[in-house]
Amino acid sequence: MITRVSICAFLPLVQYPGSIENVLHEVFGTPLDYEVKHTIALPAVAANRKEEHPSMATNDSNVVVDQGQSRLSDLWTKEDYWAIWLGFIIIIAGICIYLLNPPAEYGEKIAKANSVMAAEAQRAPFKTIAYYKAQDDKAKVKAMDSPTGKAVSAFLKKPGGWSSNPLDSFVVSKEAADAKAAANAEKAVEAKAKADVAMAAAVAAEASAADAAFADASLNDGATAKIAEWRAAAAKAKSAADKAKSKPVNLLTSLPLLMAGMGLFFAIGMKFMGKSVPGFLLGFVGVFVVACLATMMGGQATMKYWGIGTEAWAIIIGMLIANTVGTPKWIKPALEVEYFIKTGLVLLGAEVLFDKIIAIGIPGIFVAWVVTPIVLISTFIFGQRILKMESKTLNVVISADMSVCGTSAAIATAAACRAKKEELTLSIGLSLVFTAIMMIAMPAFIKAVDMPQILGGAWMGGTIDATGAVAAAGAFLGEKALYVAATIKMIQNVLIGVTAFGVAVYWCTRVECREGHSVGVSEIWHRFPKFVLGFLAASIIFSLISGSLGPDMGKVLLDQGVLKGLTASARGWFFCLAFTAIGLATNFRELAHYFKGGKPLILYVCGQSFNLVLTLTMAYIMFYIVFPEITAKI
Amino acid sequence: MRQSLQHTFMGRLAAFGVSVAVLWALFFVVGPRVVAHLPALQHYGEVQDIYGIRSGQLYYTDVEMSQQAEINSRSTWRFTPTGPASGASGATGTAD
Repeated sequence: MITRVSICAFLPLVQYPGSIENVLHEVFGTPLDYEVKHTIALPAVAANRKEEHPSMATNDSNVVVDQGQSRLSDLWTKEDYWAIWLGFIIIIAGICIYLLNPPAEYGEKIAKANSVMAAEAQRAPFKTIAYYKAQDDKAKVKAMDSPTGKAVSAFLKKPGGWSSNPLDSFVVSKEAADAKAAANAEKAVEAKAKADVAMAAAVAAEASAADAAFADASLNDGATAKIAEWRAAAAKAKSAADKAKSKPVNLLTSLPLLMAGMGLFFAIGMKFMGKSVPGFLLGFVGVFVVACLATMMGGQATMKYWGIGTEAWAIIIGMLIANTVGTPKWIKPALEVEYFIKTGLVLLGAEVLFDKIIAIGIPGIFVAWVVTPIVLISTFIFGQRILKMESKTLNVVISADMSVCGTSAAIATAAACRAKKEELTLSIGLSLVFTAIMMIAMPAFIKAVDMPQILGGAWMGGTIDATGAVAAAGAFLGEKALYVAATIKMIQNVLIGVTAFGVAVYWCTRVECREGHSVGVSEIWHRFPKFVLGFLAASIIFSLISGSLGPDMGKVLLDQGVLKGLTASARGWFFCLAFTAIGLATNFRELAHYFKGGKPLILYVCGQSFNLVLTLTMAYIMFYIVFPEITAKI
Repeated sequence: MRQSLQHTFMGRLAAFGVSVAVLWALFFVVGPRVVAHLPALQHYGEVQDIYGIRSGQLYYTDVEMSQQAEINSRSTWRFTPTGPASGASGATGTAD
């Protein structure tokens, strides 16, 4: 039912002073069509939206409102542009540190490893011990291991892991580190001995297969199995050896410096945007301290069982404070959710490398890039037409969160369609709950039905939301499942770029306009969330650089250099700050309104069920019917 | 008025304390007991320690094993093991 109302109807609403755009924005909670200055057409239900969802009407401090026109001054007065400028300052710094003048030894080591793998591939019909060793040697070449890289990593270092004493997250004395190393030394020796035994068995099995000129299939399979056992034992030995090398840590000097640096970094934009810099800096101290606590909690040893990471703890601690003792007033000027998220998303753009989609060949593209968009769009349509979700933004954020890659996709989509912070929080909460269930239940089920590791890995990689949970669930099954699951998820991660751009365009052209009215190019430009351009630019630039460097040097200089060594760490901090701000500004009661009728839960369950069926079907077809010969070699 | 405010503040402080206590009990009392009774969950934690994974990690660049996985997957396509006589004696195709 459509109700046409005159704008005069709103004039008595004296509680919303300011321009008519502000009045409309306050009442409807989302940016409206620019022609609504005269008359508006809206569902009758929306007229009562304020009563039904007071939060939608009154708590939109984190929704960006376009003014319907663009000015040159937007470049230095709007947070979307500041997110781009700040993001690119970090990206350019990363390029200067890691990409310019890389040492020649990187290329030499890669060439040597590749020549060994090429020779071994010709020698045996399976991955030999020498093949794996060369592959491991190649993986050890990292630009971030340079002295400059180590210094940058130390500056950006987050509070670490701990078991029983939270202070271990910030400070580990030399004595404590030595004691920990000594306690783990014996385990390391035992693990190494087991790895050596497994290695000897693998060498013997491979030699037997070689003696038969690799013509005996049973000997080849025997060698493959023994090599897999050696790989598993070697991974355990490496983990034990790492624990026996415990080093002292002291973040009490670097964290205050980092806080001051990041505070001043964001304050530049705050100054130009006309906001109070002293107020922001004071509040930033509070936000940063809570963010550190969240990082500390995310690093607690038992959190690995539940899939609760830093971002989730940032929301939990923030909401705990906001809904009990209350968020102190002095912190509120620093609750710049959008500013932190958008800057983090521009940096995330640099991690969206399109050459990744061919990492596991055509099967990966079909499982991650064909199934995922089908599930995303189907779930969104299901939400709109069958469930009749009241909020399109909540619908699309849950659909993207569930079908693409959990929290990171939810953040990008929410920012692209200007969802409210409560909608983002709800989507992430749903994702966390189902990830915690699926990351345990799926590997258990796969093992119970004796599903092949490759198929199981591909299935989990395409369906479990969180990237870390996918890798963990894959590792539960074995190394091959881990490799396939993590690679499929990585390819799916890249889809974030397309999703964010597609949602931003769809929202500008189809959602935020009156029915039946076409939207011009200039109008689209006015409405388009500009930070998405920074996100896409970073993605395109880095994809081109990665493509020109090739997969090996690209991995050394970009993945293990610019990204891992700088931008990903900074992005992690910015997202943590954003989620802390979300938590500190969220009211439990407001959140409950969005869960009304349980529709978000139904949407997630139905969408994920469809995802599970479609992904398993596609994975089976691609890995076992179309490309079985490659599958056998993974 | 002052008493009422103080009461409200004390109530909020109590709510904060209770919430922290509930979370603490959930994660540090109930959680470990659940893990202790479920071998599958213990194995799940062990493999995360072995491979340096944390299930709460957000993006592939956060997961170190993703890098290793990508190298392995790319190697399979670039240097597909074929053996001396291509196709004649490959590993028998049991994909695991």
